[in-house]
Amino acid sequence: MSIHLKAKFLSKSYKTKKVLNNISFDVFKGNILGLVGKNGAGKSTILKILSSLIDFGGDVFINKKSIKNTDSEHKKNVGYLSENNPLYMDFYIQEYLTFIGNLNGLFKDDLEKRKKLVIELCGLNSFQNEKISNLSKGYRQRVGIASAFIHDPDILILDEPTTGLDPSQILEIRELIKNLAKNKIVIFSSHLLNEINEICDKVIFLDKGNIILDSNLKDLKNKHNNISLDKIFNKIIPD
Amino acid sequence: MYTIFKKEINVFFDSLYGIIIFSIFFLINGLFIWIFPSSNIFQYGISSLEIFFDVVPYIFILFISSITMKIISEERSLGTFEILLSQPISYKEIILAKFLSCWFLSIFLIFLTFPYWITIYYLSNPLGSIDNIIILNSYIGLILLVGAMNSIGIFFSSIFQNQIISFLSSCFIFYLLYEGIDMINFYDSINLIDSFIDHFTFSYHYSNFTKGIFQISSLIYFIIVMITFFYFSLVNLRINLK
Repeated sequence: MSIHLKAKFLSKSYKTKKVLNNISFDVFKGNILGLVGKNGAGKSTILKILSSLIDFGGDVFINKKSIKNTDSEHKKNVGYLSENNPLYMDFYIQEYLTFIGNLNGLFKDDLEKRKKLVIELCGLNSFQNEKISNLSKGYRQRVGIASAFIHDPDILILDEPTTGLDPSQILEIRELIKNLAKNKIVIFSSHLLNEINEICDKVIFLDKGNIILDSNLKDLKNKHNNISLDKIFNKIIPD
Repeated sequence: MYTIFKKEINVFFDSLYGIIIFSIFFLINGLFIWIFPSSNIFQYGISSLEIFFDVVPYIFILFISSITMKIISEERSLGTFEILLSQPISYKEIILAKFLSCWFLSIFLIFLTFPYWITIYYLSNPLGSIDNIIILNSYIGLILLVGAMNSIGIFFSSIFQNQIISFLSSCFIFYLLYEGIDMINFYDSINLIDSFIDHFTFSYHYSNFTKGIFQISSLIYFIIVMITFFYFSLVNLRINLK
């Protein structure tokens, strides 16, 4: 089944500060959408809105169905990895995945199958009986990603998933995201433009809560004579 | 909801923190009930658990403040509350699961004091000459009292991200509601409102049960406190996090 996510006139203010200004975009199944912007541009806020974590103005439609007032139903369809990747450090990996699986309605055989699959895909095989607190940052990030898609959601939302990882871990996580995106919508934010260049189909440049650019990555590069994404970004959003 | 309830119980029993809190509870209780000359049951001369039911609310002030202080505030300060919020469960379910887990732990602890009842039963002379109705009602009153305390403790845990502030606030309010308001009785000038204020204290309603009276109004009072602070926690979290 095809999935179409459409965000219409999203806005958000924290007290008197407006962090999102009526922004709209859409994304389809199989696409990886990258959100790029400086600190405070509104990337994390968009991801939190799409995960139904915060109230917002405007609306988001999944296959023409609004996510407003359907928090629990929508969350079943979304996997979210937060920027800081909070985890229960005293849990063992298996125990943590069981906990998240249970919260998403997975039990017994279904849960075991999904656990086995996500552990395999995230390269956690040799650590599955470890306590999370004993893992390196890279492996904790993998646990966060594994828990985000253990319930096989249609939409995967990842807030800076490669921050703090070493180069080889970054490459592995990128490969994982590309694999997962084949039958899902993946939306993620990053400061690393080469990362966006590597894995995204579509890119949105944000600045102070506004969309400055929303384009297919190939079209964007063709339009700018295949110069690097960093240069395009600096050209469009100068310091 | 059961998943979060189970997690809270497991976390408590898996940690050193849980074992310490349980041990301290029984140590303090044991000292007051069986050892300290001024309060021990042997000196009391009557086969009754009155001393236990007089002392245990004060111990619960510390115990419940300790278990509820971290239940939300720790998760918020560590960021793990976001894990729960991103799952297909509502705020209501999260708070209810946390409340029920704390209440369950308190009731479990109360249940572990049942041997006191059996001991007194066998110590009484003639055998079995104890008022079981008073003891049963006192246990019901205690279960309701700790339910109300847990609901208030969770509310403070939802307000403060600092666990120490949450602990101190809970202790203060528990003491105020249990005994502090009663202290106002010492001031003759406001005697007129004494009886009215009394109806808002924990001690007034709890003492009905410890006298062996099952008062529906006291039952309703404790249920209202539980529901009110449950909704305060809910509203506070929704306003601050949504």
